[in-house]
Amino acid sequence: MTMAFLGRYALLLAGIAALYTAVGGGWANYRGIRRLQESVRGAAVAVAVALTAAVFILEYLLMTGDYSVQAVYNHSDRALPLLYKLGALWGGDSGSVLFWGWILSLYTAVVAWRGWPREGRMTPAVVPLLAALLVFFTGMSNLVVDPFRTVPGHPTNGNGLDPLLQNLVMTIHPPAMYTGLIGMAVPAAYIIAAVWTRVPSREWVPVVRRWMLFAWMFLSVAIVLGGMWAYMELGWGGYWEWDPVENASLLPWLLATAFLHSIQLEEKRGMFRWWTGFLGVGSFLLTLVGTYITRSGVLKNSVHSFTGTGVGPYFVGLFWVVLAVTVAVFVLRRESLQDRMVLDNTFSKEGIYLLLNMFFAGIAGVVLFGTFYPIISKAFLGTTVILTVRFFNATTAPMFLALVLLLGAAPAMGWRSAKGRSVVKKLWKPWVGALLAGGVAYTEGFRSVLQFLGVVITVFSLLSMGQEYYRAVRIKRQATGRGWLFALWSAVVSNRRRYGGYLAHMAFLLIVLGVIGSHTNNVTISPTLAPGQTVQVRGYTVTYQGMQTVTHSGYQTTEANLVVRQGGRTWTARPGLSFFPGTAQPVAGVSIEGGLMQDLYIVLLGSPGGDKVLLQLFVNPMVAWIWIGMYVLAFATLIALTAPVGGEGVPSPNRGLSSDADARQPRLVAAAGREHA
Amino acid sequence: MTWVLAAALTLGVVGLVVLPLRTGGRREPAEMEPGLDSLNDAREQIERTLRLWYCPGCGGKIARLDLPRCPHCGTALGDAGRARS
Repeated sequence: MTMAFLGRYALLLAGIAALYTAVGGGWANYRGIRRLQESVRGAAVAVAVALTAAVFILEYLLMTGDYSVQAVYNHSDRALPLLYKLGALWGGDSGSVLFWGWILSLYTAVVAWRGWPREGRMTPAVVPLLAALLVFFTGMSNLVVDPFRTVPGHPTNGNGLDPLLQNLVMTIHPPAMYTGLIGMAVPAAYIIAAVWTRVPSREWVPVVRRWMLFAWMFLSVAIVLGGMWAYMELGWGGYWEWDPVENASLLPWLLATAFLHSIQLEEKRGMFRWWTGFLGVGSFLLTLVGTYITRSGVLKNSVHSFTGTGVGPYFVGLFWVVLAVTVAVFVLRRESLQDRMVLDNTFSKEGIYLLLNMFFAGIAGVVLFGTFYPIISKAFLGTTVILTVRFFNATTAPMFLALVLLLGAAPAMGWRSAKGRSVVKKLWKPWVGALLAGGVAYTEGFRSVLQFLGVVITVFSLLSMGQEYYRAVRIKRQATGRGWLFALWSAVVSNRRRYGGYLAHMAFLLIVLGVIGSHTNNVTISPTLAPGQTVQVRGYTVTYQGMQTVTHSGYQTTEANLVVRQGGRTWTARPGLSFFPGTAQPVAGVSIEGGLMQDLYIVLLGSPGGDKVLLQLFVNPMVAWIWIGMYVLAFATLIALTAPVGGEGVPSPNRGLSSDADARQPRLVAAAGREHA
Repeated sequence: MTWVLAAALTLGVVGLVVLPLRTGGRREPAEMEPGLDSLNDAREQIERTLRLWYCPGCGGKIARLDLPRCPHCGTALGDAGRARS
């Protein structure tokens, strides 16, 4: 028996165990057979064990270079460094589907193992639903895209990995993306199960929120990492181009973000239940749409889609099945989706959340429409029309700015009904700060309407969030008599959901500022230089010294030697073009000298002859803010994730009262009174 | 070697499925009530009870589980959910 055969056997076992989990779980729930339910729980773990074995076997084959296996032959070669050999697992279609299934099986095993005793009626219904998805993925791996399929003959080397994927970020981005995307299946399954079993929302909301937050964190980080990869690897000076593949990841993120806000309305006020449920399941449905976009080749205007691999139609089928099940459950159990309360006043926190939801859904609708417009135009107009970046920017930027404005206003609004005077009192300082910042930004060149308003509104929201932190810290400080750092720590720990959330908002705002900044005052020049010649751009002096060729393991790179001076600083930059065997198109090796306020981004475009080089130099402002925002966002989400499931706003015997209830605590009330006095 | 791995994998998968079938029906005394197998579970249990008996809006004590609204602040309590929780 070969290792490839063992891998296939593990896949078969996983498929059988998944089928047993789905069918047996449904039957056990229907008949109330406790023994069978426990067995199904074990089977859910068994699927994860078998798929883990399959993944490890494929990694082993990649590492040892067994080129008789097609997945190894197609996406690896001898010269590939070990890290990229491991990453070649998701370099192709068969490995990707296996990897998806594996992550889903890990989620399912955790749900079955940890959730079952705690979540009573829900989890026994959730596990068969997730197992049904596992039947799909293991079925695909067993029947459609077998990762252990062998190639004829005995090849001694493979085709190698796509050079664009040979990047450190690309070894992190796909696993994070898969973890985020497939993680959306868990909250979707919980929502369907909870609605079907008529579990009250107060039981399922905290559980679903945590699962969604976990998946959302990975998806958010993965989207930014994707931008980072494009920035570092593609050599066009940008990080986001509204490419169909980029949009495919943004769509579920938009709905998931709307869900995380909408679920608070369900939690606090029992409102928008149907909508919240739809957003939760819709996030997962859009991951399937996204997979169809990336895997079907239906949209050929992508710079990095895995076109024509044949698995797309199966994901369309899965999409329709999940949609049909969701609609059936929502219709049959419509009474449990009726709102407990109605909107008293639109000028309230509920009103803000409603608008937030509308804008998120609006952006998702526009992006979906724009992404599929080539197909729509072909069907209705007879010609394929691809919408450019201008369409997406023009339609989504105003809505994003409206979102940012709402984000800043939300902390000042009260539930049910907000008082205008109170809101003004809370927000006038952030507005003053924002207008001052706007004045500075105007003098710095942020002069178009969108750029200027963008800075003003974003700074306003940042200051509004900062003000919330400041108020909490000041009250804690007065109550405890300790220093600022302790007060900050104490305030955050006492309500991790709230302050984790505020920090996540601040991280998002940092990213927004980075996006606005990087589209303002950026410079691009394309000089042709002979050795010894110098070019100047925005305070940088770049001197070309000559070319050199460097041989790496598996490829050759032609580099331009540049000396860059800025102020009193001097450094060497070596942008290059890498030539991989079997690939006609060279891959740009970009030289990026990153800073907090601007990057010098140099690309070697080619050589017009002799020792001359054609360079492209970009000065990109504030791109680093986007990457910093990503790190802060991940940290903030981790803070929010560590909040107890039951919430922190309830009295607890061993924690004392937490933030929402803090106001009722005499000592803090006294402190707050002193503050107002 | 691969045969041994295949056998171990088969045993593991089959064991995970079959063993609970033989032992899964037994109800431990602790399972008669929601499990208290760890300090976290105990804490959750206490928090759940507190959440059941205290209004999410004002924190006031709820006298009876069948009250649809908080007697202190009028927040709707969701009678069906509260009664079943």
